[in-house]
Amino acid sequence: MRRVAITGMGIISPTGNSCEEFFSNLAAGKSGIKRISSDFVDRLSTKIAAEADFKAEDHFSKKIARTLDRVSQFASVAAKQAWHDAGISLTEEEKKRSGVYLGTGMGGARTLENAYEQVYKHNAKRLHPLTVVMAMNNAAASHISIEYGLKGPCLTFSTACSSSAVAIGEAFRQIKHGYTDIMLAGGTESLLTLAIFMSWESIGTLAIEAEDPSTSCKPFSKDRTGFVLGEGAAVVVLESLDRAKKRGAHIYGELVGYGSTADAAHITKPSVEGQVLAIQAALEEAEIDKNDIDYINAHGTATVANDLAETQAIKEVFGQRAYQIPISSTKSMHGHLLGAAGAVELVASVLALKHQTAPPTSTLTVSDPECDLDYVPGQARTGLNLKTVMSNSFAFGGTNAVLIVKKHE
Amino acid sequence: MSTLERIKKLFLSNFDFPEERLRPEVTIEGLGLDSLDKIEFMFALEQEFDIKIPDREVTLNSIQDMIDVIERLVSEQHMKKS
Repeated sequence: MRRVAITGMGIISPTGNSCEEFFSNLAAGKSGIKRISSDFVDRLSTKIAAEADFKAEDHFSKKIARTLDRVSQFASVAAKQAWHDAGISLTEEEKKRSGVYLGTGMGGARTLENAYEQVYKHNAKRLHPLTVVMAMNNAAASHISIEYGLKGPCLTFSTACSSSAVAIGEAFRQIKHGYTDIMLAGGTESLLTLAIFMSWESIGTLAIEAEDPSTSCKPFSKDRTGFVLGEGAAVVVLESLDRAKKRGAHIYGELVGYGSTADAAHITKPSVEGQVLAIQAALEEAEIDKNDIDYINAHGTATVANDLAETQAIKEVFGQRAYQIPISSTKSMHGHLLGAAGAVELVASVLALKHQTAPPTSTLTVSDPECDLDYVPGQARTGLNLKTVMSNSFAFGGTNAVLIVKKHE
Repeated sequence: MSTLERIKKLFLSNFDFPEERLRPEVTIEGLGLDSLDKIEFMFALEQEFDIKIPDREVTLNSIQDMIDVIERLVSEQHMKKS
Protein backbone atom coordinates (compact mmCIF):
# COMPACT_ATOMS: atom_id res chain seq x y z
CA MET A 1 0.00 0.00 0.00
CA ARG A 2 1.34 3.37 -0.97
CA ARG A 3 0.86 6.68 0.81
CA VAL A 4 -0.93 9.54 -0.98
CA ALA A 5 -0.07 13.24 -0.82
CA ILE A 6 -2.11 16.27 -1.78
CA THR A 7 0.28 18.47 -3.77
CA GLY A 8 -1.98 20.96 -5.52
CA MET A 9 -5.41 22.54 -5.15
CA GLY A 10 -7.66 24.80 -7.22
CA ILE A 11 -11.10 26.28 -6.71
CA ILE A 12 -13.88 28.33 -8.26
CA SER A 13 -16.44 29.17 -5.59
CA PRO A 14 -18.97 31.70 -4.38
CA THR A 15 -16.40 32.86 -1.79
CA GLY A 16 -13.40 33.15 -4.05
CA ASN A 17 -11.69 31.93 -7.20
CA SER A 18 -8.36 30.97 -5.67
CA CYS A 19 -7.58 28.88 -2.61
CA GLU A 20 -6.19 31.83 -0.68
CA GLU A 21 -9.13 34.11 -1.43
CA PHE A 22 -11.58 31.29 -0.67
CA PHE A 23 -10.10 30.53 2.73
CA SER A 24 -9.45 34.11 3.81
CA ASN A 25 -13.13 34.85 3.16
CA LEU A 26 -14.21 31.77 5.13
CA ALA A 27 -11.91 32.68 8.00
CA ALA A 28 -13.36 36.19 8.00
CA GLY A 29 -16.90 34.79 8.06
CA LYS A 30 -17.63 36.43 4.70
CA SER A 31 -20.60 34.91 2.89
CA GLY A 32 -21.05 34.51 -0.85
CA ILE A 33 -24.81 34.19 -0.53
CA LYS A 34 -26.93 36.97 -2.00
CA ARG A 35 -29.92 37.88 -4.16
CA ILE A 36 -29.84 36.04 -7.49
CA SER A 37 -28.68 38.10 -10.44
CA SER A 38 -30.56 36.08 -13.11
CA ASP A 39 -33.48 37.55 -14.98
CA PHE A 40 -35.73 34.64 -13.94
CA VAL A 41 -35.64 35.68 -10.29
CA ASP A 42 -39.25 36.92 -10.43
CA ARG A 43 -40.49 33.39 -11.02
CA LEU A 44 -38.90 32.04 -7.85
CA SER A 45 -40.10 32.23 -4.30
CA THR A 46 -36.54 31.63 -3.06
CA LYS A 47 -34.53 34.47 -4.52
CA ILE A 48 -31.10 33.79 -3.04
CA ALA A 49 -28.10 31.78 -4.21
CA ALA A 50 -24.35 31.47 -3.86
CA GLU A 51 -23.15 32.35 -7.34
CA ALA A 52 -19.55 32.16 -8.48
CA ASP A 53 -18.15 35.43 -9.80
CA PHE A 54 -16.99 33.83 -13.04
CA LYS A 55 -16.98 35.02 -16.63
CA ALA A 56 -15.99 32.52 -19.30
CA GLU A 57 -14.30 35.17 -21.44
CA ASP A 58 -11.78 35.86 -18.66
CA HIS A 59 -10.49 32.29 -18.96
CA PHE A 60 -11.15 30.90 -22.43
CA SER A 61 -11.05 31.66 -26.14
CA LYS A 62 -14.44 32.33 -27.75
CA LYS A 63 -14.51 28.85 -29.21
CA ILE A 64 -13.82 27.05 -25.93
CA ALA A 65 -16.12 29.32 -23.95
CA ARG A 66 -18.96 28.48 -26.32
CA THR A 67 -18.38 24.76 -26.47
CA LEU A 68 -18.00 24.05 -22.73
CA ASP A 69 -20.99 24.10 -20.42
CA ARG A 70 -20.39 26.34 -17.40
CA VAL A 71 -19.93 23.18 -15.31
CA SER A 72 -16.93 22.15 -17.43
CA GLN A 73 -15.57 25.69 -17.46
CA PHE A 74 -15.46 25.71 -13.66
CA ALA A 75 -13.71 22.34 -13.55
CA SER A 76 -11.16 23.29 -16.22
CA VAL A 77 -10.13 26.44 -14.39
CA ALA A 78 -9.97 24.72 -10.99
CA ALA A 79 -7.86 21.93 -12.55
CA LYS A 80 -5.52 24.47 -14.12
CA GLN A 81 -4.97 26.16 -10.77
CA ALA A 82 -4.33 22.81 -9.09
CA TRP A 83 -1.98 21.67 -11.84
CA HIS A 84 0.14 24.83 -11.64
CA ASP A 85 0.01 24.82 -7.86
CA ALA A 86 1.45 21.29 -7.87
CA GLY A 87 4.15 22.33 -10.35
CA ILE A 88 3.88 19.01 -12.13
CA SER A 89 5.34 18.05 -15.48
CA LEU A 90 4.90 14.52 -16.76
CA THR A 91 6.72 12.33 -19.25
CA GLU A 92 4.68 10.38 -21.80
CA GLU A 93 5.13 7.23 -19.68
CA GLU A 94 3.97 9.01 -16.52
CA LYS A 95 0.87 10.30 -18.32
CA LYS A 96 -0.21 6.69 -18.81
CA ARG A 97 -0.27 6.28 -15.03
CA SER A 98 -2.21 9.50 -14.36
CA GLY A 99 -5.97 9.98 -14.35
CA VAL A 100 -8.95 12.21 -13.67
CA TYR A 101 -11.82 11.44 -11.28
CA LEU A 102 -14.54 14.05 -10.95
CA GLY A 103 -17.92 14.16 -9.25
CA THR A 104 -20.98 16.00 -10.43
CA GLY A 105 -24.65 15.77 -9.53
CA MET A 106 -26.19 16.77 -12.83
CA GLY A 107 -23.26 17.73 -15.10
CA GLY A 108 -24.34 19.78 -18.11
CA ALA A 109 -27.98 20.09 -17.07
CA ARG A 110 -27.89 23.76 -18.04
CA THR A 111 -27.19 22.82 -21.65
CA LEU A 112 -30.10 20.36 -21.65
CA GLU A 113 -32.43 22.87 -20.07
CA ASN A 114 -31.57 25.36 -22.82
CA ALA A 115 -32.16 22.65 -25.44
CA TYR A 116 -35.58 21.79 -24.01
CA GLU A 117 -36.50 25.45 -24.05
CA GLN A 118 -35.53 25.67 -27.73
CA VAL A 119 -37.51 22.55 -28.60
CA TYR A 120 -40.66 22.98 -26.56
CA LYS A 121 -40.96 26.75 -26.32
CA HIS A 122 -39.48 27.93 -29.59
CA ASN A 123 -40.20 24.86 -31.77
CA ALA A 124 -36.58 24.78 -32.91
CA LYS A 125 -35.99 22.71 -36.04
CA ARG A 126 -32.44 21.85 -35.07
CA LEU A 127 -30.47 21.94 -31.85
CA HIS A 128 -26.92 23.07 -31.34
CA PRO A 129 -24.65 20.30 -32.69
CA LEU A 130 -22.62 20.21 -29.47
CA THR A 131 -25.63 19.71 -27.18
CA VAL A 132 -24.68 16.10 -26.45
CA VAL A 133 -21.00 16.67 -25.74
CA MET A 134 -21.72 19.72 -23.61
CA ALA A 135 -24.46 18.08 -21.56
CA MET A 136 -22.93 14.67 -20.89
CA ASN A 137 -21.88 14.12 -17.28
CA ASN A 138 -18.32 13.08 -18.15
CA ALA A 139 -17.56 16.20 -20.24
CA ALA A 140 -15.70 18.06 -17.50
CA ALA A 141 -13.41 15.15 -16.62
CA SER A 142 -12.75 14.42 -20.29
CA HIS A 143 -11.75 18.01 -21.08
CA ILE A 144 -9.24 17.87 -18.22
CA SER A 145 -7.74 14.57 -19.39
CA ILE A 146 -7.43 16.02 -22.92
CA GLU A 147 -5.85 19.26 -21.67
CA TYR A 148 -3.07 17.51 -19.73
CA GLY A 149 -2.81 14.34 -21.82
CA LEU A 150 -3.64 12.05 -18.90
CA LYS A 151 -4.20 8.56 -20.26
CA GLY A 152 -5.02 6.59 -17.12
CA PRO A 153 -8.60 6.17 -15.87
CA CYS A 154 -10.96 9.09 -16.49
CA LEU A 155 -14.21 8.57 -14.59
CA THR A 156 -17.16 10.61 -13.39
CA PHE A 157 -18.99 9.79 -10.17
CA SER A 158 -22.55 10.85 -9.56
CA THR A 159 -23.91 10.31 -6.06
CA ALA A 160 -25.69 13.66 -5.62
CA CYS A 161 -24.20 15.73 -2.81
CA SER A 162 -21.36 13.32 -2.02
CA SER A 163 -20.23 12.96 -5.68
CA SER A 164 -16.93 14.78 -5.40
CA ALA A 165 -15.96 13.31 -2.02
CA VAL A 166 -16.51 9.90 -3.63
CA ALA A 167 -14.39 10.93 -6.64
CA ILE A 168 -11.52 12.03 -4.38
CA GLY A 169 -11.78 8.93 -2.20
CA GLU A 170 -11.78 6.59 -5.19
CA ALA A 171 -8.87 8.50 -6.78
CA PHE A 172 -6.95 8.17 -3.51
CA ARG A 173 -7.36 4.40 -3.68
CA GLN A 174 -6.19 4.26 -7.30
CA ILE A 175 -2.84 5.58 -6.12
CA LYS A 176 -2.82 3.77 -2.80
CA HIS A 177 -3.37 0.43 -4.50
CA GLY A 178 -0.79 1.10 -7.19
CA TYR A 179 -2.94 1.54 -10.32
CA THR A 180 -1.86 5.14 -10.90
CA ASP A 181 0.71 7.61 -9.56
CA ILE A 182 -1.09 10.90 -10.06
CA MET A 183 -4.79 11.79 -10.06
CA LEU A 184 -6.61 15.04 -10.64
CA ALA A 185 -9.68 14.63 -8.47
CA GLY A 186 -12.57 16.82 -7.42
CA GLY A 187 -16.00 17.93 -8.46
CA THR A 188 -18.00 20.53 -10.26
CA GLU A 189 -21.59 21.77 -10.34
CA SER A 190 -23.49 24.56 -12.04
CA LEU A 191 -27.22 24.22 -11.51
CA LEU A 192 -28.45 27.76 -10.96
CA THR A 193 -31.05 27.47 -13.71
CA LEU A 194 -34.78 28.09 -13.53
CA ALA A 195 -36.11 24.52 -13.73
CA ILE A 196 -33.55 23.19 -11.28
CA PHE A 197 -34.21 26.03 -8.83
CA MET A 198 -37.91 25.26 -9.05
CA SER A 199 -37.22 21.55 -8.49
CA TRP A 200 -35.34 22.35 -5.30
CA GLU A 201 -38.06 24.75 -4.19
CA SER A 202 -40.60 21.98 -4.53
CA ILE A 203 -38.78 19.47 -2.38
CA GLY A 204 -38.65 22.04 0.41
CA THR A 205 -34.98 22.00 1.45
CA LEU A 206 -34.06 25.56 0.50
CA ALA A 207 -33.45 28.21 3.13
CA ILE A 208 -35.93 31.01 3.64
CA GLU A 209 -34.36 34.36 2.84
CA ALA A 210 -33.18 36.18 5.97
CA GLU A 211 -33.39 39.92 6.46
CA ASP A 212 -29.71 40.00 5.56
CA PRO A 213 -29.71 37.50 2.65
CA SER A 214 -26.06 36.59 3.27
CA THR A 215 -27.05 34.97 6.58
CA SER A 216 -29.92 32.84 5.22
CA CYS A 217 -28.18 29.47 5.60
CA LYS A 218 -27.92 28.66 9.33
CA PRO A 219 -26.43 25.20 9.92
CA PHE A 220 -26.97 23.75 13.40
CA SER A 221 -28.94 26.85 14.45
CA LYS A 222 -32.33 26.35 16.08
CA ASP A 223 -33.86 28.64 13.43
CA ARG A 224 -32.31 26.83 10.44
CA THR A 225 -34.53 26.47 7.40
CA GLY A 226 -32.37 24.72 4.80
CA PHE A 227 -29.54 25.34 2.37
CA VAL A 228 -28.77 27.84 -0.34
CA LEU A 229 -27.87 26.54 -3.79
CA GLY A 230 -24.30 27.28 -4.82
CA GLU A 231 -22.09 26.65 -7.83
CA GLY A 232 -18.41 26.08 -8.46
CA ALA A 233 -15.69 23.46 -8.61
CA ALA A 234 -12.65 22.25 -6.73
CA VAL A 235 -9.87 19.98 -7.94
CA VAL A 236 -6.91 18.56 -6.03
CA VAL A 237 -3.76 16.89 -7.28
CA LEU A 238 -3.17 13.56 -5.55
CA GLU A 239 0.25 12.04 -5.93
CA SER A 240 2.06 9.08 -4.46
CA LEU A 241 3.93 10.37 -1.43
CA ASP A 242 7.22 8.88 -2.63
CA ARG A 243 7.00 10.68 -5.94
CA ALA A 244 6.00 13.95 -4.29
CA LYS A 245 8.93 13.75 -1.88
CA LYS A 246 11.40 12.80 -4.59
CA ARG A 247 10.57 15.88 -6.63
CA GLY A 248 10.51 18.12 -3.57
CA ALA A 249 6.84 19.04 -4.02
CA HIS A 250 4.96 21.13 -1.50
CA ILE A 251 2.79 18.67 0.43
CA TYR A 252 -0.44 20.09 1.85
CA GLY A 253 -1.16 16.89 3.70
CA GLU A 254 -1.63 13.18 3.34
CA LEU A 255 -5.00 11.76 2.39
CA VAL A 256 -5.18 8.77 4.71
CA GLY A 257 -8.78 7.60 4.99
CA TYR A 258 -11.96 7.27 2.98
CA GLY A 259 -15.21 5.78 4.11
CA SER A 260 -18.00 5.04 1.66
CA THR A 261 -21.34 3.59 2.74
CA ALA A 262 -24.95 3.58 1.64
CA ASP A 263 -27.83 4.30 4.01
CA ALA A 264 -29.98 1.70 2.26
CA ALA A 265 -32.92 3.30 4.00
CA HIS A 266 -34.64 6.29 2.39
CA ILE A 267 -34.10 8.36 -0.74
CA THR A 268 -33.91 11.70 1.14
CA LYS A 269 -33.98 11.10 4.89
CA PRO A 270 -30.47 10.80 6.34
CA SER A 271 -29.58 7.73 8.38
CA VAL A 272 -27.45 8.05 11.51
CA GLU A 273 -26.29 4.47 11.05
CA GLY A 274 -25.10 5.08 7.47
CA GLN A 275 -23.16 8.15 8.55
CA VAL A 276 -21.63 6.40 11.57
CA LEU A 277 -20.47 3.51 9.40
CA ALA A 278 -18.88 5.91 6.89
CA ILE A 279 -16.97 7.81 9.59
CA GLN A 280 -15.84 4.56 11.19
CA ALA A 281 -14.70 3.15 7.85
CA ALA A 282 -12.64 6.27 7.15
CA LEU A 283 -11.04 6.11 10.62
CA GLU A 284 -10.25 2.44 10.09
CA GLU A 285 -8.58 2.99 6.74
CA ALA A 286 -6.63 5.94 8.17
CA GLU A 287 -5.40 3.63 10.95
CA ILE A 288 -5.82 6.37 13.50
CA ASP A 289 -7.57 6.59 16.80
CA LYS A 290 -10.83 8.52 16.89
CA ASN A 291 -9.21 10.81 19.46
CA ASP A 292 -6.81 12.02 16.76
CA ILE A 293 -9.45 13.92 14.78
CA ASP A 294 -8.87 17.63 15.49
CA TYR A 295 -11.39 19.30 13.17
CA ILE A 296 -14.48 18.23 11.23
CA ASN A 297 -15.87 20.04 8.23
CA ALA A 298 -19.48 18.95 8.58
CA HIS A 299 -21.86 18.20 5.77
CA GLY A 300 -24.05 20.67 7.71
CA THR A 301 -26.68 21.48 5.12
CA ALA A 302 -28.86 23.41 7.58
CA THR A 303 -31.86 21.20 6.98
CA VAL A 304 -33.53 20.15 10.22
CA ALA A 305 -32.98 16.47 9.44
CA ASN A 306 -29.35 16.56 8.29
CA ASP A 307 -27.92 18.61 11.11
CA LEU A 308 -29.64 16.52 13.73
CA ALA A 309 -28.59 13.19 12.19
CA GLU A 310 -25.02 14.36 11.63
CA THR A 311 -24.73 15.58 15.22
CA GLN A 312 -26.01 12.23 16.48
CA ALA A 313 -23.63 10.32 14.22
CA ILE A 314 -20.60 12.32 15.40
CA LYS A 315 -21.63 11.73 19.04
CA GLU A 316 -22.09 8.04 18.43
CA VAL A 317 -18.62 7.65 16.91
CA PHE A 318 -16.64 10.01 19.13
CA GLY A 319 -18.50 9.75 22.44
CA GLN A 320 -17.55 12.46 24.97
CA ARG A 321 -14.67 13.50 22.72
CA ALA A 322 -17.27 14.84 20.24
CA TYR A 323 -17.72 17.90 22.46
CA GLN A 324 -14.06 18.83 22.14
CA ILE A 325 -13.76 18.76 18.35
CA PRO A 326 -14.30 22.04 16.49
CA ILE A 327 -16.88 21.28 13.82
CA SER A 328 -17.96 23.77 11.21
CA SER A 329 -20.32 23.97 8.29
CA THR A 330 -18.76 26.30 5.77
CA LYS A 331 -21.97 25.95 3.74
CA SER A 332 -23.13 28.87 5.91
CA MET A 333 -20.91 30.99 3.62
CA HIS A 334 -20.34 29.22 0.27
CA GLY A 335 -23.76 27.59 0.08
CA HIS A 336 -24.40 24.03 -1.02
CA LEU A 337 -22.37 23.18 -4.08
CA LEU A 338 -24.11 19.78 -4.41
CA GLY A 339 -21.84 17.55 -6.53
CA ALA A 340 -18.91 19.91 -5.94
CA ALA A 341 -19.53 20.28 -2.20
CA GLY A 342 -17.28 17.43 -1.03
CA ALA A 343 -14.29 18.70 -3.00
CA VAL A 344 -14.79 22.33 -1.98
CA GLU A 345 -15.10 21.31 1.66
CA LEU A 346 -12.05 19.05 1.47
CA VAL A 347 -10.10 22.07 0.22
CA ALA A 348 -11.51 24.08 3.16
CA SER A 349 -10.40 21.31 5.54
CA VAL A 350 -6.88 21.13 4.08
CA LEU A 351 -6.56 24.92 4.27
CA ALA A 352 -7.75 24.77 7.89
CA LEU A 353 -4.78 22.46 8.47
CA LYS A 354 -2.42 24.76 6.60
CA HIS A 355 -3.50 27.91 8.42
CA GLN A 356 -4.23 26.18 11.75
CA THR A 357 -7.59 27.91 11.66
CA ALA A 358 -11.06 26.44 11.99
CA PRO A 359 -13.41 28.45 9.78
CA PRO A 360 -16.68 29.31 11.50
CA THR A 361 -20.28 28.27 11.10
CA SER A 362 -20.75 31.96 10.47
CA THR A 363 -24.51 32.19 10.93
CA LEU A 364 -25.04 30.08 14.03
CA THR A 365 -26.72 32.40 16.52
CA VAL A 366 -29.56 30.45 18.12
CA SER A 367 -28.37 27.24 19.73
CA ASP A 368 -30.44 24.10 19.29
CA PRO A 369 -30.48 21.86 22.39
CA GLU A 370 -30.39 18.84 20.10
CA CYS A 371 -27.34 20.14 18.24
CA ASP A 372 -25.06 20.80 21.19
CA LEU A 373 -21.53 20.29 19.84
CA ASP A 374 -18.84 22.91 19.22
CA TYR A 375 -19.77 24.27 15.79
CA VAL A 376 -17.32 27.22 15.92
CA PRO A 377 -20.21 29.72 15.91
CA GLY A 378 -19.76 33.18 14.45
CA GLN A 379 -16.02 33.58 14.31
CA ALA A 380 -13.08 31.52 13.11
CA ARG A 381 -10.78 29.99 15.66
CA THR A 382 -7.09 30.63 15.00
CA GLY A 383 -3.79 29.44 16.45
CA LEU A 384 -4.96 25.83 16.72
CA ASN A 385 -2.80 22.75 16.70
CA LEU A 386 -4.58 20.69 14.05
CA LYS A 387 -2.92 17.51 12.89
CA THR A 388 -5.79 15.50 11.42
CA VAL A 389 -8.96 16.79 9.81
CA MET A 390 -12.09 15.11 8.52
CA SER A 391 -14.65 16.16 5.93
CA ASN A 392 -18.15 14.67 5.87
CA SER A 393 -20.32 14.39 2.77
CA PHE A 394 -23.78 12.86 2.76
CA ALA A 395 -26.36 12.78 0.02
CA PHE A 396 -29.84 12.23 -1.31
CA GLY A 397 -29.85 8.62 -2.37
CA GLY A 398 -27.91 7.76 0.77
CA THR A 399 -24.29 7.52 -0.43
CA ASN A 400 -22.07 8.76 2.40
CA ALA A 401 -18.41 9.68 1.91
CA VAL A 402 -15.94 10.71 4.59
CA LEU A 403 -12.34 11.82 3.92
CA ILE A 404 -9.50 12.19 6.42
CA VAL A 405 -6.35 14.25 5.84
CA LYS A 406 -3.28 14.22 8.05
CA LYS A 407 -0.64 16.89 8.33
CA HIS A 408 2.55 15.72 6.65
CA GLU A 409 5.39 15.54 9.13
CA MET B 1 -24.93 43.91 -45.09
CA SER B 2 -23.50 41.59 -47.76
CA THR B 3 -23.46 37.83 -47.30
CA LEU B 4 -19.68 37.93 -46.87
CA GLU B 5 -19.94 40.56 -44.15
CA ARG B 6 -22.53 38.54 -42.30
CA ILE B 7 -20.41 35.39 -42.52
CA LYS B 8 -17.40 37.34 -41.31
CA LYS B 9 -19.36 38.72 -38.38
CA LEU B 10 -20.46 35.23 -37.45
CA PHE B 11 -16.89 33.93 -37.61
CA LEU B 12 -15.67 36.75 -35.42
CA SER B 13 -18.32 36.20 -32.78
CA ASN B 14 -17.60 32.45 -32.66
CA PHE B 15 -13.83 32.25 -33.07
CA ASP B 16 -10.74 34.30 -32.35
CA PHE B 17 -9.66 34.90 -35.98
CA PRO B 18 -8.13 38.16 -37.12
CA GLU B 19 -10.58 39.73 -39.59
CA GLU B 20 -7.99 40.01 -42.39
CA ARG B 21 -7.80 36.20 -42.62
CA LEU B 22 -11.47 35.95 -43.56
CA ARG B 23 -11.20 36.36 -47.33
CA PRO B 24 -13.53 34.58 -49.77
CA GLU B 25 -10.81 32.24 -51.05
CA VAL B 26 -9.70 31.04 -47.62
CA THR B 27 -10.62 27.42 -46.87
CA ILE B 28 -12.26 26.07 -43.74
CA GLU B 29 -9.32 23.77 -43.17
CA GLY B 30 -6.95 26.66 -43.70
CA LEU B 31 -8.65 28.40 -40.79
CA GLY B 32 -7.95 25.36 -38.62
CA LEU B 33 -11.53 24.26 -38.08
CA ASP B 34 -11.97 20.57 -37.33
CA SER B 35 -15.01 18.50 -38.30
CA LEU B 36 -16.90 19.35 -35.12
CA ASP B 37 -16.17 23.08 -35.52
CA LYS B 38 -17.48 22.86 -39.07
CA ILE B 39 -20.75 21.21 -38.04
CA GLU B 40 -21.18 23.81 -35.37
CA PHE B 41 -20.53 26.66 -37.78
CA MET B 42 -23.07 25.26 -40.24
CA PHE B 43 -25.60 25.43 -37.43
CA ALA B 44 -24.67 29.05 -36.75
CA LEU B 45 -25.12 29.85 -40.46
CA GLU B 46 -28.56 28.24 -40.45
CA GLN B 47 -29.60 30.41 -37.52
CA GLU B 48 -28.14 33.58 -39.00
CA PHE B 49 -29.71 33.21 -42.45
CA ASP B 50 -32.85 31.34 -41.39
CA ILE B 51 -32.19 28.49 -43.78
CA LYS B 52 -31.77 24.75 -43.58
CA ILE B 53 -28.51 23.50 -45.06
CA PRO B 54 -29.11 19.97 -46.39
CA ASP B 55 -26.78 17.65 -44.51
CA ARG B 56 -24.93 15.93 -47.33
CA GLU B 57 -25.67 17.80 -50.50
CA VAL B 58 -23.42 20.81 -50.30
CA THR B 59 -19.70 21.43 -50.55
CA LEU B 60 -18.38 24.07 -48.25
CA ASN B 61 -14.62 24.15 -48.60
CA SER B 62 -14.09 27.88 -48.68
CA ILE B 63 -15.80 31.05 -47.57
CA GLN B 64 -16.73 31.68 -51.22
CA ASP B 65 -18.48 28.26 -51.23
CA MET B 66 -20.45 29.39 -48.19
CA ILE B 67 -21.50 32.61 -49.88
CA ASP B 68 -22.66 30.71 -52.99
CA VAL B 69 -24.54 28.02 -51.10
CA ILE B 70 -26.16 30.44 -48.68
CA GLU B 71 -27.31 32.82 -51.39
CA ARG B 72 -28.77 29.92 -53.37
CA LEU B 73 -30.52 28.43 -50.32
CA VAL B 74 -31.82 31.80 -49.17
CA SER B 75 -33.39 32.48 -52.56
CA GLU B 76 -34.84 28.95 -52.80
CA GLN B 77 -36.09 28.58 -49.26
CA HIS B 78 -37.27 32.13 -48.60
CA MET B 79 -39.09 32.18 -51.96
CA LYS B 80 -41.03 29.09 -50.91
CA LYS B 81 -42.05 30.75 -47.68
CA SER B 82 -43.38 33.87 -49.39
